[in-house]
Amino acid sequence: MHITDVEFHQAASLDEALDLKQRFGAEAHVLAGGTDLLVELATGRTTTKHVISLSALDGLKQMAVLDDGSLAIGSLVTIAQLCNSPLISGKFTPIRETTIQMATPQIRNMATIGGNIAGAVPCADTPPILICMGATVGIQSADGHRTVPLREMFAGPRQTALKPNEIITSVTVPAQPDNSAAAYERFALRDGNAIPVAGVAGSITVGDAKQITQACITLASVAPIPRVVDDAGQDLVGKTIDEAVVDHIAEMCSNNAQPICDVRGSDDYRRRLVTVLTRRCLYRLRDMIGN
Amino acid sequence: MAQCLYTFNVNGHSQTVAADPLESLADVLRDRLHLTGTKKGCGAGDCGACTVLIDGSPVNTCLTPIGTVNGREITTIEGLAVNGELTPLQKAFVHEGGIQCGFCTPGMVISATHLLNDNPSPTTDEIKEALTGNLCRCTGYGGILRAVQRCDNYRGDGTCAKKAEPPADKSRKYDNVNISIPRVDAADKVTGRAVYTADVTLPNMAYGKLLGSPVAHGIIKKIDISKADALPGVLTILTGADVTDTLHGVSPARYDEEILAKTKVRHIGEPIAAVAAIDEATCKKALSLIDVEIEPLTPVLDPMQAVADGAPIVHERYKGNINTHVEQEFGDLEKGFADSYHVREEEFIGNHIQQAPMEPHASVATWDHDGTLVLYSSTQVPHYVQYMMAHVLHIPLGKIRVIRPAVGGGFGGKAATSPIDICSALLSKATGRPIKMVYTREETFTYGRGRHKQYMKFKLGVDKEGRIKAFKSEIYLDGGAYSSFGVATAYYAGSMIPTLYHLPAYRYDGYRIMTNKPACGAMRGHGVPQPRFAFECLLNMVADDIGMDPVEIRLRNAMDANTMTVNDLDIGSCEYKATLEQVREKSDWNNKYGKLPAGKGIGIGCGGFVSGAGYCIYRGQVQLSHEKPREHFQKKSIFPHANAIAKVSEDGMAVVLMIGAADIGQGSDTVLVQMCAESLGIPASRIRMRSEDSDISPIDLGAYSSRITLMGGHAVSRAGTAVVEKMKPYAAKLLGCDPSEVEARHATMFPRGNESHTVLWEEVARQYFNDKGPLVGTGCYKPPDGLGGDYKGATVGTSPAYSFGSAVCEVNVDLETGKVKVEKFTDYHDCGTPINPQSVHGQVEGAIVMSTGETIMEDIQFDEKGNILNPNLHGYLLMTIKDAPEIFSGLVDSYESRGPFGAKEIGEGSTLPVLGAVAHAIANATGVWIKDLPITPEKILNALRKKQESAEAPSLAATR
Repeated sequence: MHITDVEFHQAASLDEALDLKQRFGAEAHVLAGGTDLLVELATGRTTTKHVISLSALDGLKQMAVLDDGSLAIGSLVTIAQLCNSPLISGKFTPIRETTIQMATPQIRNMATIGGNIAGAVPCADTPPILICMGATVGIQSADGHRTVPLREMFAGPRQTALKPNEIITSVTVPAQPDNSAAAYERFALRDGNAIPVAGVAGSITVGDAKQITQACITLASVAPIPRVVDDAGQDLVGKTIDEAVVDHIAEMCSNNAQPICDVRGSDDYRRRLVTVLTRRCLYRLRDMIGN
Repeated sequence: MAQCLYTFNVNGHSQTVAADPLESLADVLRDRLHLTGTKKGCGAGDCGACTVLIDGSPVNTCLTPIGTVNGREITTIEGLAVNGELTPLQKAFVHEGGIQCGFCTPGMVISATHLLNDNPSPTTDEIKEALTGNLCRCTGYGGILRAVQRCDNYRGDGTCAKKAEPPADKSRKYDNVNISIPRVDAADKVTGRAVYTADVTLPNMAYGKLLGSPVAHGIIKKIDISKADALPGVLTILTGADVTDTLHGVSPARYDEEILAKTKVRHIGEPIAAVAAIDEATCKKALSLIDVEIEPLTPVLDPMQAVADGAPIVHERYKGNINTHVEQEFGDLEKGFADSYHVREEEFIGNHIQQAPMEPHASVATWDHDGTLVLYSSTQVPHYVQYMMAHVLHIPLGKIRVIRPAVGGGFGGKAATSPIDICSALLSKATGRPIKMVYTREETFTYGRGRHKQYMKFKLGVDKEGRIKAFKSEIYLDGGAYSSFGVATAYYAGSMIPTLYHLPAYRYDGYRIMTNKPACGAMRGHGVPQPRFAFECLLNMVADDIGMDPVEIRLRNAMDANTMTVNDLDIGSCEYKATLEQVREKSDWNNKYGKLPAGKGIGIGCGGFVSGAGYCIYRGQVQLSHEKPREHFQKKSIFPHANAIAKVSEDGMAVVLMIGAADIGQGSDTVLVQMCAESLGIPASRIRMRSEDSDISPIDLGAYSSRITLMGGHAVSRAGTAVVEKMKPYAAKLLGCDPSEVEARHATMFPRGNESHTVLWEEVARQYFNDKGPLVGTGCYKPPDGLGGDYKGATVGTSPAYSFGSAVCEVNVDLETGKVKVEKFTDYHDCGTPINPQSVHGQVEGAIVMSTGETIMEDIQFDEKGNILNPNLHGYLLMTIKDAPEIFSGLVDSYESRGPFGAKEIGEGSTLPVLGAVAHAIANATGVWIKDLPITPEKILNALRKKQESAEAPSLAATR
């Protein structure tokens, strides 16, 4: 596909964007931060006929903590905003700890949270931690608005639950319980600007005796979609984090990974990384709760 | 879709452009607003060369559609230096060695400017974080980091000017050499003014693109261009049928490349058609409309399978897929091994890596009305391009003018004449218009010419005292589909091993194998880094086996000055032992080696290189190759390898120095200016370099084999001396002394021993001009006659002088993931007397970071069809500023009597110790040797698992 053959639409309002999406459906590619589009057009990975630019939709570039303590993030909020916003503090800090590891300052200034989700690449960093924190996605179309748990958004590599006429407008992270913690451990082949070879996000909520009352473990980059290891979450309930538990959960997560072999590593290596990263993640959660 | 009007603010001024909304901001800035300081290095947001500020934040303009930029504020590199006054940060880049090729510099400066705007006193970690999206392939980030850290020192007036002109120190032997002056091109590079080939725009210029083969091995059945030809905007299309049958290449005995494939394709991406059109977008569209039918043949991708019986044949002329076989034996090998107390054999495998300079190759061609080809090329060897263009176009060299604009790094990848050099000329001829062709990052990978992957079988014997008795090397080099430099590579892989240690007996068998992959070529350290890595590893293993310290075993075998090696290489100055002793002391080796906790490691590696190849790549004189008589090899250079002209301006205030030596970022223009200034007796600031144009500058063979400092240095200093000789009679008349007594220094001339009785240098120059007209001096350099032995291949490895160096590496390995953090390097080199110490350290730092990446992360990977799986800078990983280790670079006292002012090379020798040092440090940290490159975390973990399994196995057996 050549850029001269693609029709470009600069939406002046969300309504206009939704109208365009309604009209062109699957033939239209939504342009948010744009870190992928020009590369995908150049390499032929995208053969879209229409591009709908959201760059003028300032309303989607805001974030706020709502009355119920949840964090509402507009879908066009950039990764850099998530790194720098004073709203990302307290129990929301794991979001910053994740985003600061992503890509480069330049990319973080462009890339958006909506794009990181809608792109649905298996190695995306934000979905696993946000899933563990119970995030939901606000989706809008000409038909109306709906809310979908983030963990239900992904259908496969580069495939989401979005219908052809829908656009992501927000991501909401609920208020995190006082006695909870969330963390993301990733492994990459170099220290700067590297795509994760594997990642493990985790969250726990504990009772008074530090026994776990709720837990979620989600794997990055080792399955077609962010892999929520439900068995691990369930097995953790009622336990405290000790070596035996960690070993058990780490093995379970490694078995639940469905990694591919590619230039960054073999499936075998990725499974071993999942074991190591799960252990590190759980121990970190324990330390966080301890504090 | 139709173009739209976009209005935005650039560097404080409103601009309106008509553009397709999905055109990148990078293209709009460069092509429509002519703000070419914004560079395109990857087109995928990986390298950061195109970084600008949009509304104050750094972004990648290659990813930014112009349609999203309406109404926004943009600051490019051109917007920083207000009224030409460099910002303090820009001055810091100039003076702290933050600039080499300069291609990453604009983006780097933009990112750093943004950091300092927000945070005037950043920590080192904050600087690294801010610059992690800007790749640099030259500096190793050391100079860049120092520039940002020391930016405060450059605030206020005059700092720059004061620093540029160090006060004359009369006690120094030299005024202009052995001193760190800023690069002569630094100010242009830091402001975005420097013009690279892709920045060149000529009137009525059109664009060209190549169609690459989609299969790795096949027979071309049909190429139908009719649909593409009918596309509006297409000017012409060439296929194999339209071009000469003359084959080209690098080694004259192995010219085997077609300009455009005629009947057979041998690797994915091999050019099969060339399109010229009014713009690049039309070119790309036209390529997609060319109908190609290729009957696929089985590709052969593994060199060890390529030599097996019945393997598919890549070229009929290379039987058994063997491109060249080197067989050399020196001394009594059998006796050497028989006399050995300990013998160890090991196999090692290298990796297929790419030079990946930040600037992709570019060419712009146009023909003058008199039939002269004018070719702008991002080449490191303008003369060989001229020679090869003459060869394929069948026109005399005198009808070819090669212009080498600023070059954004080469490292060997730009040392051959490229398909776009040739095709831009052919498309320009066919269309009557100037044609620009620029490789995408992916095309630089499919064009190839990277480092040969070598499969090495080594056998080393030592006596009880650790003295080497014999060494045997058998190497298979994966050459890819064409010869290119590869014959020389195969010889270099053997010839350079004996320069570091006394080897009484040595055998080398080298086989360069053809495979259906892009051709490999010459890369920094040409053929030597992998065998050197393997040898240094094996030496460390042997030291361990016999219970000897690795530094000690080296000292016992180390090369000495004034030695003829076993393979007849003439070593002059050699301070190798001093480098070993210095790194041992500086790194605190004795207190660390063998005494570090698990996961921490320290290792040593050494290496050295030629200071210029002893012989030209082609035989005989400078002449169109078709018209050359068959010439027998003569053991002398037929014509001078470096040639210079120094022309004094008529008022005596400036000297224009002309030499065709290619500054590709390594800094040759600067050191040549320094050496010429020294022999002229004037400050370097009075010299202007003209090295870029073959119409102006006489031949220098170019930037390869680390030859310019020594060879070019002699030529320019001799040209300077020639000028002074012409001035002496006029000075003598003014001074009232004998011409033989006249000396020139500090821009004055005076009788020897009486520096207070002076006449101004320029006054003497004016007197000369008044009397005789133009004041011009010339100089040239030929390597010494008779270099090398009398065996086949004896010329490869010959040089007037050799460098030596030692490096100690310290690592921290995460034993759970295998991740290696290279923490520290301590390096000492013998590069003779350095002309510009800051440039030398810049080469060392750059080499350490590049070669560390080569050791632990760089690797071109192919699928089973011959596709490159990572032809981009997010799959093919270069070290970022966050990955770069802390580096100490030191120099030992040395003087090379065959070098100008005692100088030798540093550019390639600096890479050679690195791989072995990193590998040794990892082995020291983990207890396992990884013998195939790159040493990835996965390989380390696999080796640790294997070790653990074999450790457990006997105990399991025992319990049964």
